[in-house]
Amino acid sequence: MSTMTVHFRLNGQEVQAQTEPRIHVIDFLRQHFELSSTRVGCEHGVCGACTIRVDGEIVRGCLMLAVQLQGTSVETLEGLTDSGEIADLQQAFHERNAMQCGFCTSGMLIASQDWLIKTQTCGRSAIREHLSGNYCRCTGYEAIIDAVERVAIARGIQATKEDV
Amino acid sequence: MKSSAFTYERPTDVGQALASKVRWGAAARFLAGGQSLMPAMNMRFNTSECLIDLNGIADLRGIREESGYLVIGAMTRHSDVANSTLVRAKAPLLVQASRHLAHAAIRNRGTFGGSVALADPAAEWPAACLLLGARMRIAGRAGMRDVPADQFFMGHYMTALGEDDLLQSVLVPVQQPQESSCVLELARRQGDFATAAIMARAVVQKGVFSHLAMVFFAISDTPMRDLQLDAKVQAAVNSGRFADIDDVVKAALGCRELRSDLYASVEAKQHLCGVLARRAVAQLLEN
Repeated sequence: MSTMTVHFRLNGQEVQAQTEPRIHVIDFLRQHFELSSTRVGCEHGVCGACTIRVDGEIVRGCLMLAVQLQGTSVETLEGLTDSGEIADLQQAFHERNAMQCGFCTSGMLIASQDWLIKTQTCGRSAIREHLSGNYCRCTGYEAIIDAVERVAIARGIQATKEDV
Repeated sequence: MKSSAFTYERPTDVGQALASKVRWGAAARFLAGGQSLMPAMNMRFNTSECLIDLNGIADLRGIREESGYLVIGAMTRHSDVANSTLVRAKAPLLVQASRHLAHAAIRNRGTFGGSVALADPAAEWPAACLLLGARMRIAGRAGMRDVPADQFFMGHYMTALGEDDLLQSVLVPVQQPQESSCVLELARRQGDFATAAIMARAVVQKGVFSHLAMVFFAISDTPMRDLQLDAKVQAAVNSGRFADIDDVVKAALGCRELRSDLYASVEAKQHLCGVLARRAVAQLLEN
C-alpha cells in the first residue's frame, strides 16, 4: 500500500508521519502517536467518542482522513490536559461523578469545552442540545450536565443553577 | 470497520478536480465534508478506488450576495452558513434549518454543496433550496449550467448532477424582510434524521396569510411541495378553520407517493405532516 507524508501540529508540537490514505484520524492518533484518549466508537459519526479539535473546531475524528490533517493544528484530550485549559471541567466531572467507564469522556469533555467557550445561550437545555452528539451508556447524562452547568456558573457564563 | 484502500487526490482548482473525475470515471468520488461519504467508506457500503478531496479548492468556499441572491460556495461548511450574519439577514430560513442539522462536530466539516449533491430525503438544505427556489450552479465538461431546485432533486440520492459534474455553488434568492419562516422537525433525538419535517414561509399581516409556501421532507424520496395544498391551507388559516388543517394536509398527501421507513409507516407520516402543518402555521403567526 502506498503511503503519504503528513505534516501537522499535534498538541502544540510540529510532527510528521507516513500514513495510508484510508486511515482515519483516530486510528492514526491512537496507533501512530499512541494518543489513546480519543476513542473509536461507531466509526460513522454518530456516537461522538472520537470528538477532537482541529484548527480550533470540534470534529468527528473518525470521519476525517489522516492525510487531511496536512497543515492543520490538532488537539486531543492529552493536549488539553497538559495545557490546563479544561482543568476546572475535569475537576467538576470528577466531583460530580460524571465519568463511569470513561469511554465517552474525552469526547464529552472536548464537546463541553466547545460549548463553554462558544455558547450564546446558557442553561441545561442549551447544554443538552450541544451534547446531543455525544452518547453515554453509563451515566444517564444528568451528572455530565450538572458538571458542565457548574463550570458555566463558575466561569460566569451562566448566572444561576437551573432546577431541571 | 475500516475503509477499503483508495488513491487520494487533492486538486487545487475545479478544473483539476473535473479532470481527475473524468480520468477515474465511476471508480472515483468527490470528497466534500466527508460526513456522509466516510461513514459509507468505513462501513464499506462504498469502496471507491479514488477519493478526490475538494477541501483544498478555496474557490468553492464562501458566501456572498449578488443581484438578489446569496451565492453559497459548495464547500461552505454547515456551521459557516449557520453563523453567517449575511445569511441571518438575507435568508434566515437557512439559520433556522441549521439548528436541526446533525450536531456541532458534523456541522463543522459537512458542506452545503455536499448535502445538496447527496440529496438525502431527510436533509435540510435540499428542502430549503426547494422552498426558497434556489438554483444549483454546476460545472461540467461542457461548461457551467444552472438547474433550479424543482428540477435538481430527482429521487432518493438522485440529482441532476451527471457522472462528470461538480456542484460549484448554490444561488439562494434573498428572502423578503416582511416574510415569516419556520422549520419544524419531528425526530426521536436532537439532530437525528427526521421522521417527518416541514419548512414554511408566508407573509403574515395582522393574522392574515399571503404567499404561504410549505415543503414537507423526510417523508418521500425528495422534499415535497404542493401548490394547491399551500392554497388550501392558506384559505383554512384566513377563514379561521385551523382545525381543518390536519385533514386538508392528510388528504393532499394521500394522493402523493410517501415512503415508510424504520420509524414510521406512510399513514403515520401523513398524520405527522398534518400536525407539522398546524404547528408551522401557529409558529408563523407567532413570529
